[in-house]
Amino acid sequence: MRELNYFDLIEKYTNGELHEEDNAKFENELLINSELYEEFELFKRVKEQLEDEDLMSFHQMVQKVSKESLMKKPNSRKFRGAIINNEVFYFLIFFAASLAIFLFYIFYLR
Amino acid sequence: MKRRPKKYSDEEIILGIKNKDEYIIKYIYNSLLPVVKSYVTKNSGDEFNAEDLFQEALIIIFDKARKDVINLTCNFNTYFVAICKKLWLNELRKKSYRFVSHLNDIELYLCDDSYNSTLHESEFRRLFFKHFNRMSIKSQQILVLHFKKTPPARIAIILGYKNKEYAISRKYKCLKSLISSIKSDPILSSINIDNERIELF
Repeated sequence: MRELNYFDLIEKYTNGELHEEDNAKFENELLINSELYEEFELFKRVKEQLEDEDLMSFHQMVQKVSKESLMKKPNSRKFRGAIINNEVFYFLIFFAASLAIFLFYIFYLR
Repeated sequence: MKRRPKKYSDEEIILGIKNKDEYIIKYIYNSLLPVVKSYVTKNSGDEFNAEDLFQEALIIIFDKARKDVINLTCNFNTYFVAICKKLWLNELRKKSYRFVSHLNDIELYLCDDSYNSTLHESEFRRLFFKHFNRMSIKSQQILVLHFKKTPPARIAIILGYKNKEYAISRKYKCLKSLISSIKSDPILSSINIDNERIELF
């Protein structure tokens, strides 16, 4: 039992993989050894957290939205302070370009 | 171009959080992240702190909303920002900054009287997510799948591993590294001390 480190021991215990003898030994050790006890408590709390499916899926979604908002940032900063949004901006560029071509055609090519 | 209503009411927002509605979360991100960021950056923090805080506050509200009904006596925006402020003040106290600009918790008392217990519950969760977020996406997935009680053979198929033995050994390594990184975080000991203090008084 000594050869195993605490983590392996705790994992085996929670999975029910220890022999009966070792099981009893482990439970005894838990009462005496504060280091093992602390690690066991930590393991239990982490397990509890990971088993909370609802919260984990919410967290994953928040993570996703957060990444998207980080990616969006440079784009939205480009036109910061302008009242017009992106679509209007592209339309204006398109409009100005077509106007320029039209004027060019009228004044120079005729 | 998708057209969405620009404003949601407070009830809609809380319901949206409870139902994990992506649009609502995006809406909250767009409307409140700048406020939180400016508060944190003015009070000896940076943008990354603000981002973490923001996620933590969302998770706190989600956790509260699914357990019982949130009866707000104030505006949702005020409530949310107050939670973020409170979290940040706790963080600063831990780092023992003495000069924090405004140390008032009054806002939160006004909004929700059971806030203190909510925040204490979340201390460990926050530490957990701090380390969990640092892991690669595959490691996160394997842990989540394992604790959903997915059989190893199926995990191997989902994540594209050779066989179930490899999936088992990956899970073992991920869990071990997660626990050891949490264990080595000095914040952990301060959480334990806090809990003892609560029991004493």
